[in-house]
Amino acid sequence: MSGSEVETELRGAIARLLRDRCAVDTVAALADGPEQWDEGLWGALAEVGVPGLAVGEEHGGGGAGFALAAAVQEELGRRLAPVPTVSLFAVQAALMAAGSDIAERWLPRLASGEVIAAVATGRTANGWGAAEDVHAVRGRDGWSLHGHVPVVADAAAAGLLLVASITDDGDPSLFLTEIDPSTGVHALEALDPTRSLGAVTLDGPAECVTGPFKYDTVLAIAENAALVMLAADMVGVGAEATDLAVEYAKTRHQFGRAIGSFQAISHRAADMFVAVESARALVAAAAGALDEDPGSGETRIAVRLAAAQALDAAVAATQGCVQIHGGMGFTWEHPAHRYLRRAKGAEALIALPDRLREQAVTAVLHSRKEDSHA
Amino acid sequence: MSTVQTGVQGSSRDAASDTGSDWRVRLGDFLTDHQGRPPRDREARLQWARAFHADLEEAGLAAPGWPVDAGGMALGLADQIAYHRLMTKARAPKHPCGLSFIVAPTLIKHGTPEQKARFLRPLLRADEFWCQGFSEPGAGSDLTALSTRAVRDGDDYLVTGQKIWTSMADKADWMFALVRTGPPEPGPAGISYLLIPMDAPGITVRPLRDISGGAHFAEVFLDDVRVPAANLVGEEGGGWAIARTSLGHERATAFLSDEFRYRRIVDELFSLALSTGEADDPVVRQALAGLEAAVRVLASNSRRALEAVLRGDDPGAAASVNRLVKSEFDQRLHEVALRVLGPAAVLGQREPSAPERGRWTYGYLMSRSSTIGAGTAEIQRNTIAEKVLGLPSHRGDLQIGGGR
Repeated sequence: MSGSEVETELRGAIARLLRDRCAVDTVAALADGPEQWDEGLWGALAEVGVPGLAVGEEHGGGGAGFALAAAVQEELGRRLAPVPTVSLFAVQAALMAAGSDIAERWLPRLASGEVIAAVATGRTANGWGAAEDVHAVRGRDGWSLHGHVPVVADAAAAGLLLVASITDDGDPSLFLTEIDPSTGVHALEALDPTRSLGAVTLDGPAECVTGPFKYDTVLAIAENAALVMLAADMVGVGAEATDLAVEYAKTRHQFGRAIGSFQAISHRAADMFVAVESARALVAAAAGALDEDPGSGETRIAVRLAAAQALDAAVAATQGCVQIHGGMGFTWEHPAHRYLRRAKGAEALIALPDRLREQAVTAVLHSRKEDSHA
Repeated sequence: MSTVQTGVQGSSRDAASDTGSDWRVRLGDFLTDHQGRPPRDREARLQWARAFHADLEEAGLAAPGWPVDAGGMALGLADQIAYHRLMTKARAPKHPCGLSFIVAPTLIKHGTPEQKARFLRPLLRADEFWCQGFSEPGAGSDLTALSTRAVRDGDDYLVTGQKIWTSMADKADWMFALVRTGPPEPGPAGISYLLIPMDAPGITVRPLRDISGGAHFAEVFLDDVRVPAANLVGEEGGGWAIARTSLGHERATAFLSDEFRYRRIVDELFSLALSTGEADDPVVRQALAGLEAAVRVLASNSRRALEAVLRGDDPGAAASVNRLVKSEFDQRLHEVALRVLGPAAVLGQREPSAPERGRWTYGYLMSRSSTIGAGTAEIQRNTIAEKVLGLPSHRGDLQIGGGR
């Protein structure tokens, strides 16, 4: 099979699984209830190998790369799946890049879906950095982490946390620490209840994944992977919101005709479609770049342009979906707000689109200056 | 539609004569032999481009995607992309008559053997130029409202009417035109596709000054112009369908060479922004990032559209999206360019002290037509809404007019 045939088949299989296990009513019931994420759906996805898609076969994964993982994430986004893949894939990317013994020991358990990992970092103008209120201490029995991380995505599902922290000798390092969702995590009410958020208190042993030497590279790769997966998720969300709006515009009649025949509606729908299609093209390229050279300058650019486009497209499409549904779109019963929440929550989760564009253009201009000096 | 019929990729050419990358070597040598700066003078530059393309045809290196029997190279997609990249990198002159490549696929698909033998080679060599006679004063976005009449008179048609927005009318040897041979009522029935010699008695060309102050197109008046019936392409009354397939085809494939041109222009704009210092302005940086994203989207979309054509699928969705993205990108590009010029953006394009000989100001003015010509952005959105998303027509049961 060619690459695109594999992708088509995989998308189809995931879409069928989600149609059975992740209907919009199921998601709504879970989001409005006490559960933080869909553990049953996770089991079904683990059975077909989703958690290990991007992990190399030598670590017990499927070796399919981030390009296919992104295609699956798009399907998950389309169904608002309340599962922690974005965080998990980011940690996997970091561990594969770190290549340390500790990293290699954890990867098979992350690839099987048995353990879920999330990311705790701080946020700077240039991207992820060390978590602000956390410090790492080296004791007689090894490392321990102490402090508080105010917002960690997918913390409710995670048994393991990748933490970027300054150590007591002043250098940053990356750590893995096991967390217990029932004690160390305080669940937060999220704008998007399909992506759980928790405040995490740390006060226990940790393993050092990578020291100061590879810290920047590995953290940047984790962020690249998180951005690509979040962007793929947004392509799915935006595509479904566009489909919903188009379907409604075909059936809703006013002034004796379908509202989709009015150009004020149809042109907005066309713009939503074009923006999502453009995002999908950039996300595919960015995921390919991540597979090819996860830490390169070109990957940094491709990932950020893709994420900015996808976040903008998803917010525009989900807002458009609410608007085209009129009063119906403003109700709690109609699912339009659930797509809007997922898009708007994602927009603020890692970096805002303007910030991502600024990071991308800085990298582009930097590479041009280097070219002209070469 | 089959790949052979579209003329993008011809019948298989796996003969040993041109397998692998032999064409690359030949094109590389050709481009080395034809290096040189374009002449400053406009007319000399035109003759220079004509000579280049005549030599290219002579060397068997023209029309990478056309079938071999039409004079092309029948290269596959990857090779076509490589071909355009080589040409762009060498700054080879564009074919001086881009409109020729709208009529050519139509001739390859629908033309008689005589028409192909007569027209395709001079067209590729740029020995003969073509202009397009579709739009009329009363038929713009709704092209089926056209009223130029062609009345049969023995072995000829007598053509009377008026065409407008005709680029290259003053230079063209031929016009490919849509004319009404059937009933006078507006609509797609009774429209025929006719090749009209521009030197025929009864043709008057009146230049139209455009937004930049130049005369890039013209009005063409036809008064009992005698055209041989042998110049009819396809069936009488079948012109609308023919024109539509060639328009769709043009939209799917014309992007390939644009892709590399836009990449280069965006690179040049980044350099300009660094040299003017505007690259330090956060507002400009946001705009530059937007262009960088858009030029990547264009590259990816063109490939998808072309892959669809090569698979034999309808490139409709990807091509419609690309058409809209490209036209708005072209405008945005020049808007940002004027922002990057800083205070110098107040200068007119002919002011000697204008940066880069006024190219960005001129380009800005010309780019206003990107969302008007070849189907307005509004018509493009109608097409996406109705043909891709399946939304109901904005005007009842009628077919979308489209058109240039």
